[in-house]
Amino acid sequence: MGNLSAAIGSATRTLSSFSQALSIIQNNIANAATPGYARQRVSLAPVVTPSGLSLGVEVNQVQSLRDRLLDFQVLLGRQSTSLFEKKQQIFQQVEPIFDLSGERNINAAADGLFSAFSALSVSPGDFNLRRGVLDAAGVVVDSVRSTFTSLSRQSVGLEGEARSTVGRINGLLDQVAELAALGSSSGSENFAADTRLNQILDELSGLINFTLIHQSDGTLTLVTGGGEALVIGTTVRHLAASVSEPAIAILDEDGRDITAGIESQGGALGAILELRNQKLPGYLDQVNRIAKGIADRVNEQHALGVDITGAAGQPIFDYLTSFVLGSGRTPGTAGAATPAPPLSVDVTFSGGVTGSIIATLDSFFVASAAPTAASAGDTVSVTFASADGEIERTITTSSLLGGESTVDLATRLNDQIAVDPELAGLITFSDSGGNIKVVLSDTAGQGFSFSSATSNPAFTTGLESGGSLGGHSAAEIAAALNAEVALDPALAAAGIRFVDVAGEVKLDGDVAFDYTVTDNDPASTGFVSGLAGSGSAGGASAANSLRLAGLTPSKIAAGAPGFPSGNENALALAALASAGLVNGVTHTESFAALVSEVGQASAAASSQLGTQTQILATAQAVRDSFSGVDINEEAIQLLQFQQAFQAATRVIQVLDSLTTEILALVR
Amino acid sequence: MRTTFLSQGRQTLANLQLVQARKARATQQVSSGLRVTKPSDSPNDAVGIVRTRTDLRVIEQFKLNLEEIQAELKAVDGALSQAGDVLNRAAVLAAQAASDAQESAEGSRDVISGEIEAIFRHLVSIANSTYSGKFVFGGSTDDIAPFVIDASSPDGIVYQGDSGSREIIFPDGRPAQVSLPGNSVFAQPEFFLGSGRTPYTAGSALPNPPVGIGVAFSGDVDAVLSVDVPGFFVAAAPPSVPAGGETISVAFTSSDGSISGNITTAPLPAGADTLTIAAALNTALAADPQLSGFTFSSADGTGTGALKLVQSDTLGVGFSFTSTATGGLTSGLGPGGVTGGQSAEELAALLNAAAAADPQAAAANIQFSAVNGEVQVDGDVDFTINVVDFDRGTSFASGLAGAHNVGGTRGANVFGVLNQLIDDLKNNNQPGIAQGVSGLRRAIEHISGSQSFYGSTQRQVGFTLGNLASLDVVDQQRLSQHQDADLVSAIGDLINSSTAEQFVLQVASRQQPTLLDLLA
Repeated sequence: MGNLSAAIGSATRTLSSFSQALSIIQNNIANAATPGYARQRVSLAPVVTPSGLSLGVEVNQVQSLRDRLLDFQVLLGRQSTSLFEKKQQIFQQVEPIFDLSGERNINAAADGLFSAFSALSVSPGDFNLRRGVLDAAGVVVDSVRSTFTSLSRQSVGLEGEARSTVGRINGLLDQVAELAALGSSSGSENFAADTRLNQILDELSGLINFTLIHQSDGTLTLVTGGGEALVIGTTVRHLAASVSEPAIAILDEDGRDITAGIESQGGALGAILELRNQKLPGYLDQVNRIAKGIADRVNEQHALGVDITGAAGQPIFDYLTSFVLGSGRTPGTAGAATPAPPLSVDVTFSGGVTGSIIATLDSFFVASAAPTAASAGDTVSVTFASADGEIERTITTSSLLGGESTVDLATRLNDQIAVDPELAGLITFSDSGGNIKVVLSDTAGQGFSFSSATSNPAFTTGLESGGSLGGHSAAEIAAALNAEVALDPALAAAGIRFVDVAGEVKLDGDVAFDYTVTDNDPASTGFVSGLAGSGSAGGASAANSLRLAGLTPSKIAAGAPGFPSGNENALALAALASAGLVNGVTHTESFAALVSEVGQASAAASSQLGTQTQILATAQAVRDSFSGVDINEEAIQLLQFQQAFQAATRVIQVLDSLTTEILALVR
Repeated sequence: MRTTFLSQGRQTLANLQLVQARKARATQQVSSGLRVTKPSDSPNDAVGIVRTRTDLRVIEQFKLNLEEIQAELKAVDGALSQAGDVLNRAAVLAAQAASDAQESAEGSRDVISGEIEAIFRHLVSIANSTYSGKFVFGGSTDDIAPFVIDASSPDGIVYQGDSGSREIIFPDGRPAQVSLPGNSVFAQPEFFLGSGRTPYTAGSALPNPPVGIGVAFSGDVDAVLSVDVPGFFVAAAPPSVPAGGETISVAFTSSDGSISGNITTAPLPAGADTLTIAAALNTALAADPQLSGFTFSSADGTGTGALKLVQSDTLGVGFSFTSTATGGLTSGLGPGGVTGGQSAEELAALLNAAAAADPQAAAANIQFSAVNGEVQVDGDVDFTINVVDFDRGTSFASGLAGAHNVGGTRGANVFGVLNQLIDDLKNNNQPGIAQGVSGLRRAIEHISGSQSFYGSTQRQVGFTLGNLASLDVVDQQRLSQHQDADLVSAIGDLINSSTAEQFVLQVASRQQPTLLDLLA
């Protein structure tokens, strides 16, 4: 009887175990669609007394089938996917700003302006065409400003989004700490808390990149990609977003800048930071350069022409400028010997761009020897060639009488200069201590080289060796400095540019910088560049301050000086369409480069999103395969436990009838 | 691998999204006809679209410009044809007037002169032709009438335009002149006649470097001529004091050899000063009429100055001289020298000699001549002279200084010829009228020369317009390649993706039976 009772006890325990197993299956089926839920398994074990008596079955353990590595792969996949997803979202809003197929983008507007100049060149006197130029310039202004404003708005919008994202991250971190504590404090696995924790981590991985470290004591440490701990056990270290122009920074609880570990790394915040701190400022800078290039070069070329009253062209565009304009430029003409070492202008840049350039300048030329005695009938020829190759002229004196002094020779040479239509007024010969001195006027605007010969080998003037001449015009100084800038990639990229403006040298750049200019005039020729000194310049924001300077149609300078009704300057302005306006490339090419840059970045985000989505899907499938609930599998288990349960109840029935029969024996 | 409830749903959703994205893309391509609407659709094509659109805008503007120019050129061509017709009529009338039969009939010449006056006014209105409000013959000045009748001017007309011409840039960047300044069409002088020639006679010493003229040619001749212009002669030292009875002889030879003469003074008195010696030499000169025009004096005007020999410009030719003296007297004239009067003839001869030595000037048949005491320059081609007088502080002026356009033999002062013809008709000047006829022939040729310039420009513009049209087509094709959707494949894509979508939806909506369904 004792055994019978034990059998009933064992059967009862078995029934209770199976009903617990059935409830686990029920729980699995109920949570089949719960995200983050890991299916549970009961492991049953026979109950055997130490004496070897078998007392049925009991639930040994309920196990949550969760693999931390597989879970983490999913989190990583989610982080990458949301980075590119966010990028794609932002680009979807940025791309239309460049209005690829429209007629109002910056390139189309600038094309319109140059077309208007081209149309004006056909009928420079036509007031409607002159008004057309101003209208087209207005379209350029509108287009530049609207592009700039739209990009800026995106930038401001991303600041707000960064703040709210950081707020959400902080909220999630709090929950992570709470749930992790709950999970660890219960000692064993707390399935509900675990599932909730997984859901929170899943959402968090959509916002920021992190790694998880499960400590041996069951607590959790959450660390950003940059190694910054955000959650350590129950301690949460909150993040803060701070806008300090030009970038938005993410600060940790101690106020340290940890942006670098988050930007571009993963999660939506990584994308927001990358776009806000890297991409958009780059696009804004490029728009600014294009606007500045167009405005500056159009204004400069316009100033070279004359309006219908014959007055020099005034600026068409106006914007907040920040250039340096020299004053007091003076050509160096004093001295009895060719300056050696040659004079130079040294410029050192610091601040926004670092570098230094030394531009050496040619000066006047003094022969190293006095002329020898000329014989009657001798002549002197001098050939001058301009630096741009446009002018190449030879002058020849009329036959000398013989025995001319240096002054006489200079007079004879000056006679021929005066006659030559291209050289008149540009070159002066004189007597410098008995030697011939050749001085180039700064009105030449460019350097010249010369060579010389006489008709009689016995007669020498001291000019035979030939040489280079510089007039120290603003154009020559600017050209010499620009040539040096071109050799320095950093300065060239910063758009450092020297320009001749009304006879003085202007220094400007696309970025703000500090400069120091020094004139070196070792031979005391009296040279002054007009720029010497130091200060800050450059970096003006042309794009958001660009406006029309308010010219009237009659003030459009279509003609060249002397021909106010002509079209020469209108042609030159129209030709800017194919000139290197923006760091040496045309406005079309620089706009195309910008469009391409935006397009490439956006297309890359889209294509990477595709790849990452696949990777995430695979990680999820692998995880689900391990942790997910398969209804069929649960149904099989259900059947098994049901049948086992039924069998156990049948055993109890049999035992019951046996017990009844035994009790009847007693009656 | 186990397939779970969640993964099935996720997979279905992912597939549905993929198919729908494809369908959306295909729908957008089919509805807009564009494959690339934003930079990320194809960054490379986006760059091509930006470039090609700019190219198309440039072509469009060039087309508009050239069409406008072509219309204007046609108008100018018409005006010049009309000018040619009018001048032909004038030439016929002038030929009539020049014929002997008409000579007696003064009345008919008056009638003809009246008609020529009408032609003159007609021609002025042609020269003031406008095209869409712009005067086409004003150089670069197109807002005021370039030609204004002015009876006080030698040609009867004043040109108010400028010498500029309009250039356009062809699409290949090549600049091309598309207009001629009005003065070169209607009032191109055949030659340039200087004015204000002034000889120099003052000064105590011969300038060194000498006085001279520099002439630079530009245009169809590229040459520089530079000549020294001889003037008076000053002896290096004052004469020695005569002991009495010495004589001074001077032998003069003109540079062309046409004049030579010897003079000898009467015996000089003892102790004669420079003034006395100069007076004795002048007395001897007076005896030889060939040499009238030479004057001896004292360089500083005192009795102790050096002898100075001045040649007047009336002689018209330069001279060289040698001198001797008897009795050991040194006059200072001993080494001899050259003198010149700077007459127009002398200047022209000097410049012609220089021009002949210069291959370019010689090829262009540059000719200097003396006309009414001034120097005239002429040649066979169009050129500009830029003349500088090297006066060395003297009063010398060649009369040519400055820059001047010369039309050469091709030039024709159309209005000048007509104006002169009217005068000649009124004054019954038979030779003038005959000259007018040939002048008009030349004017007609000149106008037709201008017309051919406009004609060839028109052809060039027309040719370029044709090229632009084909370039436009090429660029349109390029743009289409960059941005347009391949509709056939887009529609195929749309159908495929729609079908796929339906399948996915059907599969998703179908209840998947599980083992649980079978348990009952």
